[in-house]
Amino acid sequence: MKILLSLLALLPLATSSSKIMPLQLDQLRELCTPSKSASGWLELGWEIDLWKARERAAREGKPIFLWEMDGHPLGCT
Amino acid sequence: MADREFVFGRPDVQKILREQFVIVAADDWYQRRQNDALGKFFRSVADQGPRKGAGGGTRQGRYAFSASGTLLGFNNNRDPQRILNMLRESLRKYEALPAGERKAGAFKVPTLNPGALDERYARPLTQDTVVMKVHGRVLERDRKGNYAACGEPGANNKSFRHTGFGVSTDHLWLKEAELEQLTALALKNPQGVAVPRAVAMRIARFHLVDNTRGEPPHWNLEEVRKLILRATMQPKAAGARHSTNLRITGAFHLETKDGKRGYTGEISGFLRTISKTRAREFQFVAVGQHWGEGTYTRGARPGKTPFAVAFTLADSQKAENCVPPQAIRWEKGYYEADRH
Repeated sequence: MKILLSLLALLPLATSSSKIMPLQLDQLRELCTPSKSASGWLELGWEIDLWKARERAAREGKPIFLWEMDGHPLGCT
Repeated sequence: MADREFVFGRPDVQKILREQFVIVAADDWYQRRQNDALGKFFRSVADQGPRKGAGGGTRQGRYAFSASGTLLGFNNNRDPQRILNMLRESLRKYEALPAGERKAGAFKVPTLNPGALDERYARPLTQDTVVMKVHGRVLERDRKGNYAACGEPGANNKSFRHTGFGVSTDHLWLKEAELEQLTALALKNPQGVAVPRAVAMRIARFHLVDNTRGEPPHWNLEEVRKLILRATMQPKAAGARHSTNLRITGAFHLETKDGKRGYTGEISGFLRTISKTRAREFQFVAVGQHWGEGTYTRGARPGKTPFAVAFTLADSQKAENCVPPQAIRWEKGYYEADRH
């Protein structure tokens, strides 16, 4: 009986705390991190301000490439 | 996301962009609307091409143009070879421009005062904003019952449609004051406190979404059936390098009225302050069962399947981390997610 009561006393703690253990937290975060090979395109030096890109292009004598999407290409999806 | 896999992930596309162009990415929803010099410049370029945005419609696509505003090329296709052709053709056209439009330093771009931007569509990252990188991914259970990736995105080079197995990206914006308030509350209440409702609802409604196959629908107020998000101050261990250490825990159930789309699961993480530097360590993960899809996220796996969203503090000095959250188009609604 004493054992049963002790277990019942623990029940609220068990149900109110998250079941994600610290180890799983690290594993899940890793699973949700883009791999190096999948995120190489991010390292190309994207500007996110069209006017700054325009100023840089004029300064460097280069054309501008604009990736324009409904929803920001570097976020959103 | 498909563009990242099929176009910008290719080394030949990356090489030409890195070496020959100044590259910029932008959200058409803002730029096609904003009534200021930047919006007008963009539309003056786009209007030289096939997408003139009639009736306020989209102008999305890939454009090549000069700093002076001469359109050199346009493409809205995921076939990398067609993009490469467009880029090479644009370079040829650029070389044929008068020297005053193409030589380094020859063309003078007018100064644009940030205060002159159309504030209805300007979402600058302010000093008091804390940025978290938000990555989502559909998962499966391995033989041992652990969460695992479903597989690599794969090269679907016929339709250039992705499988949705890759990692999605968005940004969560919090205010410094919100984190300070949470830490102060937790210090006063060692048994734990609820994360302020506006923050919890912002996270749930706009970031616990499956955006792995396209622009996702967000949750409205009524669709948040259950949301518990708590922070509990952890006892300070001897020699700990943190002055404060909050454990973040939670549970959520989000579901549309018709039950066709939903996400139910748990949240776990921490918010710590390092004693010496006052720097923060902040991360949390949501994981559970997701079902259904939206207008632009077709192709969901049938039934209820594992899905996780990870939130990690981001370096706001990097340009790509300054991209506004997808859901902040209505700024007041984003920050006051518990009210609107």
